[in-house]
Amino acid sequence: MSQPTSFRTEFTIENFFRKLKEEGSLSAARCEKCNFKMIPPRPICSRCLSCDLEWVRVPARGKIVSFSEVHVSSENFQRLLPYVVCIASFGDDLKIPGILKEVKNVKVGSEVEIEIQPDKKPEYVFALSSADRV
Amino acid sequence: MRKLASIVSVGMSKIGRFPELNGRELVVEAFLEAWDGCKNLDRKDIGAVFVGNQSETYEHQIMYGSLVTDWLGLLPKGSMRVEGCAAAGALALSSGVTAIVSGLHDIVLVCGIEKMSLRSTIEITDALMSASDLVLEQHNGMTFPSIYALMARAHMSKYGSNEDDLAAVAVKNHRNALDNPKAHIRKEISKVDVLKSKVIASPLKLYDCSPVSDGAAVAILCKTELASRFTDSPTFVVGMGNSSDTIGLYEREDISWPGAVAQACSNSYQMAGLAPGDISFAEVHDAFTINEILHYEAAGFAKRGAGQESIRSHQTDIGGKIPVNPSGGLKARGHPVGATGLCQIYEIHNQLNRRCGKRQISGAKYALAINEGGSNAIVTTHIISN
Ligand SMILES: [Zn+2]
Repeated sequence: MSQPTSFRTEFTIENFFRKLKEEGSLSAARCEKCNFKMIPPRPICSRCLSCDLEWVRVPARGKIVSFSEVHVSSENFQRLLPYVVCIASFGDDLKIPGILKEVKNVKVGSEVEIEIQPDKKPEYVFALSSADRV
Repeated sequence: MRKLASIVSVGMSKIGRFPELNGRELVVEAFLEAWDGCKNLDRKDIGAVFVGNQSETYEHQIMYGSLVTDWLGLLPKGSMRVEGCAAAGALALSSGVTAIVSGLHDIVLVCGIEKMSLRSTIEITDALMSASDLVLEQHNGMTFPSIYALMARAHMSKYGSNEDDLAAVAVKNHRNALDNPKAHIRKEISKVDVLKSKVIASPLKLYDCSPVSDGAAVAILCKTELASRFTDSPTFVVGMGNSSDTIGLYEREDISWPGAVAQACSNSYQMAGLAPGDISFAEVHDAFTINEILHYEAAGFAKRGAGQESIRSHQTDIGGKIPVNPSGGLKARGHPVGATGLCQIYEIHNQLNRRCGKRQISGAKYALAINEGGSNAIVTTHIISN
């Protein structure tokens, strides 16, 4: 009887964070069949179930879709209060949530850049692009 | 129209903060009301018990199926806990209805329970965060108020709703709860009170958020043919919907549109052969005020992007075209998370039986309940008729 083979995929959450540290950028998985992008990556495309995936680098700049200034949070985030969370879009097919470095002058539509901070939690933050900083 | 199952009796504990009571004792309080409300029912004839409960964090207690079955003297009947964050209560109801429709059981007990107030706001914030995506939402400090705040700001920037509209939802639901003797918060508030309350996650303020509550609710269900044996005033489940969305809000095409709510509503309308215009009133999931406005749209009471018009024109007041949350909603009746879906059913069963006093909706025939968990990520809807 043959040994059962265990499931192997490179499109794991662990590899997402490893690439973040090694390459200094965020990576998504793109489905080669239907072009669907997933962040963090998944082993199969949740739109068409294809396993033909490739890593793609998230564009450096995005736009704020929505944001909120948080004043009450859990234990892990007390030190950051108040902080702004947002969802930013990177092209028309990828949205990513994150904490924004700034608290002031945030608007829907503001341009943001991703800043990797490999030795900190969270591992990345967004920063308002200079043009949007007042 | 098919009557899937009959609700013969309901019970609900008072909702609030009860340091002197454990969760199981709240279940007993709810059960006794339901038990007193039906006749000729032998405990031995209850075939199974389904219990909705969100989190073991609060009491460090899972296994609520066993606990409830034991404490209500129903051993050795089968039981289970069902979980879908705040959708747990309606999931327990759906599980019970499914057991009856399948023919497996003739009579079941469904229950929802949460005992939250033992914990601090910081601990409760953390316990609720487990209903969002671990990798990119929880790790990025996205609390539940902030996730709903993201929906709110997206809706505002796209459709022109505003903080006044959100405040109006809180004012209405507080007013409705004034006449609900079991409500957690019975206090009239003004728009200014809401707008001036402490910011929790902008643009949401304290009075945009439902309170931390303790409470339990139960319903006794049976095969429709048996209902008259136990009560003269049954209500009937005539439509049921359950739909899922991504756990992460950011993964949705439009973060201002609760797609799974629309899908679940549509499924239940189709099953009942009804349209939004046939519904007499609704209990919807106003965990945060913005969500009531989103649910107007998803239920078809307002067009997509126009939910704020319903609150501005008072259509959802008691006496309006489509009253919403006559109980006071999660906002003021209170939100014991795993019990909420059955608290909604408690109000609906009593409204359809004309037992709601000053907040009674006249001529009510069909009611819609929308119960959801996470950020509208698991949605369970029921249509109940009298
Ligand atoms: Zn695909």
